[in-house]
Amino acid sequence: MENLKKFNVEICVGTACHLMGSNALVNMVENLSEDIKKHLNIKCSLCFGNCNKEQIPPIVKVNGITYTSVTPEKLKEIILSCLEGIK
Amino acid sequence: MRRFVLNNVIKYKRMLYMEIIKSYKKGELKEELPKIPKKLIPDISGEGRSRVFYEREILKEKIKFVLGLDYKKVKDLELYEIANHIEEIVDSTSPILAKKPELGVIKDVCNDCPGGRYYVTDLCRNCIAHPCMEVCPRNAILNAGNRAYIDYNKCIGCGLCASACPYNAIIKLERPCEKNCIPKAIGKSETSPVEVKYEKCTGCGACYIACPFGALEFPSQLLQVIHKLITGKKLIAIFAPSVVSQFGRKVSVPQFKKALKIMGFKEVFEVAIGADIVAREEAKHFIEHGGPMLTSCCPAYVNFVKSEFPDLVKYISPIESPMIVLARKLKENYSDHEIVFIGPCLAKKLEAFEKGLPEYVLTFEEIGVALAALQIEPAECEHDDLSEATGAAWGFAVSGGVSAAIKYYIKEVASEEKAESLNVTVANGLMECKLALEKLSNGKIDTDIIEGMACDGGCIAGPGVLADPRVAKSSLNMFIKSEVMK
Ligand code: FES
Repeated sequence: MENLKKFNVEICVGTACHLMGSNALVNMVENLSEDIKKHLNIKCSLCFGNCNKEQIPPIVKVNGITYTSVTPEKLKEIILSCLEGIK
Repeated sequence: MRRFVLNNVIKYKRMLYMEIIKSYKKGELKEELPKIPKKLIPDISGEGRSRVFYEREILKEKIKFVLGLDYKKVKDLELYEIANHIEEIVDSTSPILAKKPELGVIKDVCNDCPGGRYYVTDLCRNCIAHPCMEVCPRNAILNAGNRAYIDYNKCIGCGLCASACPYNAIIKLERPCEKNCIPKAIGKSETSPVEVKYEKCTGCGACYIACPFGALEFPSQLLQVIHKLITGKKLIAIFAPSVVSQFGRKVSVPQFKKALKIMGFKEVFEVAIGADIVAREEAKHFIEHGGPMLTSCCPAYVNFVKSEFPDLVKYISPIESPMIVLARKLKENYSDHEIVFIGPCLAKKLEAFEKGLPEYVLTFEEIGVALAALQIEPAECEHDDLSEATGAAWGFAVSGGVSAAIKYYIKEVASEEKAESLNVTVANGLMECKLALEKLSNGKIDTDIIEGMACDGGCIAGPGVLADPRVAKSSLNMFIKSEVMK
């Protein structure tokens, strides 16, 4: 098997993020094409603790970088630009 | 089934709740309250600046509902004035608190949407055939500026033009609130852009979900409940069967139960216990008295029958709803405790007000924001024990579930044959309720039971849910199979 370059997508599904729409993010990521998904390590995490530091949920970490107030469109853009980077 | 879309109206409302509870917990609510709109909607420069002020204004009015105030009394008050009364507001003694938890209209937020009229849109190609003009019985369509126009002095709103146009260029614009209100309890009046006819309002919350400006709200009791929890008062929580999956995929029902105890509730019970009692009693009632029987668990459906079909009220099952039945039962053993119902429903607030118990009604959304603001993560909680309740009782949460449960108990109290021969009509959503009740009233339907649910899909599609109703339905089925029937 070829050695795929992968990167981490951690979606917070803690209560605050859940209330602000993390579910739509998880659905979006799960419905990405296999071609994209094979490069992702998708993880649903519990509260990162960021929501109490005045950061607006839902919160996602992609390759360790924290993004706040994420929408499905925004997350897709982030993922696609990371993909560009590793190709 | 209701399509659930998490929009900005809902997001801002949730942020507002979280912000208010956080500052209450820090003991800073009095000082912080007037600053909250600006904090949630910060300044921006350049384009869209005026919008910032408008949105802050909306939040300012919404805060009054979050605090549980009587909007009629406080609509002209500024937040700093309200802040002066914050102690009495949180400990439930303030005279400006809402007594009856009914639908409130924020007139300043209402966009006064156009509605009820036909409009010719840009899609009009000014065609040569112009069937719109030909079919119009009042010659109300003119041709001006290279397209068709409607003369509203003549238009009678028949809609023939819209159906004749080959480009679908003519549409009827409807107000979202009016369109979704089946009893027609909301609309424009001579003096106001929007007004509620309270004698017709069932409290179902359809307009509240539909309004894209968030101009309709219900007063909350959340802050008062939190205050009691934090000050160690004796409260019991009871939660509706539609709870399954509401708090995300990682939270099980036993964990949610534990989280409520960590919040400070002394005891926590499933309303499914009450649903078992109700279904059994309704089965007995049906065997003794025969049909037709209208189910009584959905308060908006019951209100709808009462206001729109008074001659059918006699058919409503005399058994009270699972919430009330369980609350009464608990009062026998916990007379010094107050009871908080947690569910997907706004009409339950009215029901509880009318019956005098339970003392508080919160939605999943309200309890969700409280958990988030108090930093209690149900997914990290231990598993509490579930009480005994049948899968049939948990099924009350979904349209069709109540009649299925009655059928299940008819098998037990009468016979298999009796249950199998039962003729059930499931009315899913107030529109279907209306049609079924009309038929019953005209003698055009032969049915034993009309199960009515005001929300399309049942309780899992209620106005106070957090999860998509489709997800909630499949999770509930899985839960019944794996947890309840095991
Ligand atoms: S719930 Fe997502 S960061 Fe706290």
